[in-house]
Amino acid sequence: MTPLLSVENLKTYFHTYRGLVKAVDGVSFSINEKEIVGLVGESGCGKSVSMLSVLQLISSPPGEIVGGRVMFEDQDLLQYKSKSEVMNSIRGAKIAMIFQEPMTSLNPVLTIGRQLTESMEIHLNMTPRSAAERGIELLRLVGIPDAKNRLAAYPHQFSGGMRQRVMIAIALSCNPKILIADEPTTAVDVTTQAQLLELMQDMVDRFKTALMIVTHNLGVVARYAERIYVMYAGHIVESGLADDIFLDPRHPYTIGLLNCVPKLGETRQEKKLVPIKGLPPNLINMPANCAFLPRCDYVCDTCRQKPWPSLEPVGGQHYVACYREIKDKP
Amino acid sequence: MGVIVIFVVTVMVFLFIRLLPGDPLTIYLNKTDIQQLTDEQLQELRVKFGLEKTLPMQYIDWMGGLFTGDFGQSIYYDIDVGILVRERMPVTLYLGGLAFIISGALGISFGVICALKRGTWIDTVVTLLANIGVTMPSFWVGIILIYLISVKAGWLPVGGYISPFENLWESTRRVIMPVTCLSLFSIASLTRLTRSSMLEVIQQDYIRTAWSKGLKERLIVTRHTIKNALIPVVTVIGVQVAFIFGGSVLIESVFNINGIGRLATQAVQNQDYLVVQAITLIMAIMVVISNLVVDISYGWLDPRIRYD
Amino acid sequence: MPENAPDDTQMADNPQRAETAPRYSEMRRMVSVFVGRPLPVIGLVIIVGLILIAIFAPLLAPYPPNLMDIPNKLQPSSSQHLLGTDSLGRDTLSRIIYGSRTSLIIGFSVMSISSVVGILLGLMAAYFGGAIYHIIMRFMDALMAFPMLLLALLVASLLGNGTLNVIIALGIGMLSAPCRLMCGVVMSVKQNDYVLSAQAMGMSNSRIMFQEILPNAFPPLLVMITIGIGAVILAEAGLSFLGIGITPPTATWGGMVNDGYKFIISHAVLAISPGVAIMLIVFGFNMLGDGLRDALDPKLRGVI
Repeated sequence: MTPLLSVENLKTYFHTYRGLVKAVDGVSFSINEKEIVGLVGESGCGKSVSMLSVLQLISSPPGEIVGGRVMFEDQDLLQYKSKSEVMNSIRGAKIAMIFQEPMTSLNPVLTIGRQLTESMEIHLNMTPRSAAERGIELLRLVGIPDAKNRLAAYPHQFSGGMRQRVMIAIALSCNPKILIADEPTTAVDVTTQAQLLELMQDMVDRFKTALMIVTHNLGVVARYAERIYVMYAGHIVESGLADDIFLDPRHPYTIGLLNCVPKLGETRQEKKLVPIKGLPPNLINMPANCAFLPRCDYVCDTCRQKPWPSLEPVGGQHYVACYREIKDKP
Repeated sequence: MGVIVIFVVTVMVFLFIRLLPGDPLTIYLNKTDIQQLTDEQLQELRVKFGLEKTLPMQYIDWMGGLFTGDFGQSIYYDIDVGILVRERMPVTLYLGGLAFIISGALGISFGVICALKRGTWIDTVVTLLANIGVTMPSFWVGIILIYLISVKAGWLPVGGYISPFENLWESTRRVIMPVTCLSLFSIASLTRLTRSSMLEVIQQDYIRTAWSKGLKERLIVTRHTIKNALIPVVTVIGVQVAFIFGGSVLIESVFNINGIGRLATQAVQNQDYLVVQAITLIMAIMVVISNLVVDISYGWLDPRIRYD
Repeated sequence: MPENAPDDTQMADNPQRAETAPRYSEMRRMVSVFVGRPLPVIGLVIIVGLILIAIFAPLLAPYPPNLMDIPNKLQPSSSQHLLGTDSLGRDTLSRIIYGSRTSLIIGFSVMSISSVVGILLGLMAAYFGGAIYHIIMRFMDALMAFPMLLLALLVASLLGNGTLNVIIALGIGMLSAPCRLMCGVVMSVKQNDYVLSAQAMGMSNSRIMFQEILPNAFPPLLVMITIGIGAVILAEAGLSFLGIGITPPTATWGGMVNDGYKFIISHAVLAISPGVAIMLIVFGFNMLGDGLRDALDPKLRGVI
């Protein structure tokens, strides 16, 4: 089965005054129909940039997609210009996106109704009236009370969680094949987080949409994602089924991430949370070898001498980019 | 709010005149007259002009006069200041109004075009022209226009003013150059402001959201960008009105136009204080009123203010 | 528990690095943004050049500015008089060179007076709040309503001519910008969490003022003052053009344009050349101000 979307060797660089930032440097991933996939990594590791690159939403300059392929429906999306007709007909209609900041992602001077119905009017050729009707239906589905009257409201009259619900309604309004949720729950409080995630799972199930959740929170993907990609410093360092990642992590970074997530039923005496030492690397002028090296507990001579390892299969769908085979996991 | 500001404006203008070094009678009489008068006569005049009262009482008297259109007597023209100003006012308002509309329309359009064509030669050229435009003294531009267009080419008359109701064609021919000078600075500064405001809005998250919905660039600009970008531009409209009024003082002198700007200059030269006072007051109040209009139009642009 | 929380540990791991490293690169970023574009550098060069010209005017000017030579009046440009002579036989180039003194003195003194007074008023308004805030701010609103040139006309008509009176008149006109800016910065800084926490930690008010408010207020003030000097010079040129304020024979560029206007048909250079000088100096201050704003604006960080 060919995946719905497959990104191959994607490279997105930023030209800054301090030097070239290789935010995404040879990233490959794919998503199948109706699948829920997680992309995990620390802030600044390039996960958002990868997703924005898929839809060519990178502001250029300073950003530039310098290489790779984005295969969707048998064509490479990167052959089209960002502002081209083809990209406009895919964005919102076939691949939709939800962003991190619910407070700033909606236009403050336009009504919720305007922002909700415009993509339906464009992609589905709906009349304003039928789009408004569907808009009310969508708002009701995402759990906004009094949906009919809320169409005339402005974003500042909504709370952060409500705005994110509106964003979900907008994103799903045209029945997209894929929904990319870029840190959808980072900026809202914990109870709202859980509700939003439930809602998204529910909605993609209802609309038969594939979902890509981008997050720095392993807890988020643990519950919902079927497959997981772990990203570090512009590279995918480990990928596999959710069980592979959680039960049999191979990359030192993944192991480190899991060690700083508290597990249910464990007391403090049994196991301490261990933070990963050090700070994420500065992406400017990085050395050729593994970027995790300065923070790694398992570093060896090979790591120091050889360039960044490529992803190698370690059984099933499980891939790891590491020279070491780590036996004695903590 | 506006009422309070107008009150402060009147108090300031009142105090400016009253804080004049020496006797306020010098406003009505020149120095030799005062020396010739006896103390009793001076006292009589003080009572007549209400100068023996306390400052707040004098202010109330003065304001009462203003409401009935009594700005006092011009010592130079020897007629009522109100009549003098009313006679000269329409000219300045006509030129200023034209300049205001033109600068708003052109400045905002140029700014939007520059922002959309960022980095192209159009942007570079228009931005450079705008940067030069805000540095050119308007009176100097007027002189150069007269030199090139009237004197060298002979296309337009050197100056003067004819009412558009009298002869629209001749009026327009005379109005082109002064209005150009009056609006030049505003066009240039609005271009700069609109451009930078547009560029800031274009970087906002909600514009990225609009792109992610697959909207066409034209729609993103017209529906999602311009309204937001105009919010800071509208804030400076009051400043532009003040600037155009200030410019009229210079431009009416250059082009020999008998508006209140020229009247103000002549009044300063003739030490005709009450005329200067009246003109300053009227212009300031008109600026306050345009600021009020701006505040109201804000609500239309920005729903966050409408609902507060 | 705290020692186990991952976020805390990461933060505490490297407090030094987080504090000092960006500061150093911040300076470099500002310089590189400023120098990275041609216009601000051109602006700086123009201003430094004109300041040097003003200082060394007696050495640079071929003639004294007020030396009248009636037999040689209204000369076209020649090797003796590069820009010709005016109706009194004075050398135009020399008067332009000396005119830079007037413009710069007015520009700098007006902005220093108005920003000192404006900053103090703004601090008072923000610090005391309540009635004092409203009185000061309504006063500034009213001040903003006066066209600056007209305000200057009014003040000049009351106080009479003279350099000092022009400085006072324009100084009053320029008061509101620094006042509002300072007040705005203080009000917003007051709301910031780090100031509230500084207060909670018992930091004295004056320390908060200097440590928190000045660094926030300084960049926009610097930009405002730089661009303000250009605006003041432009306004002063307008006043001199009207023959109000600084009176002959002192060389002012605005006054020279007015003198030259009478001979525009026969001797256009007399009116045009001082105008070019005004443009140049205002352009210099505007470009320097723009460059400073871009360099000091954290929003552009990393983009350029």
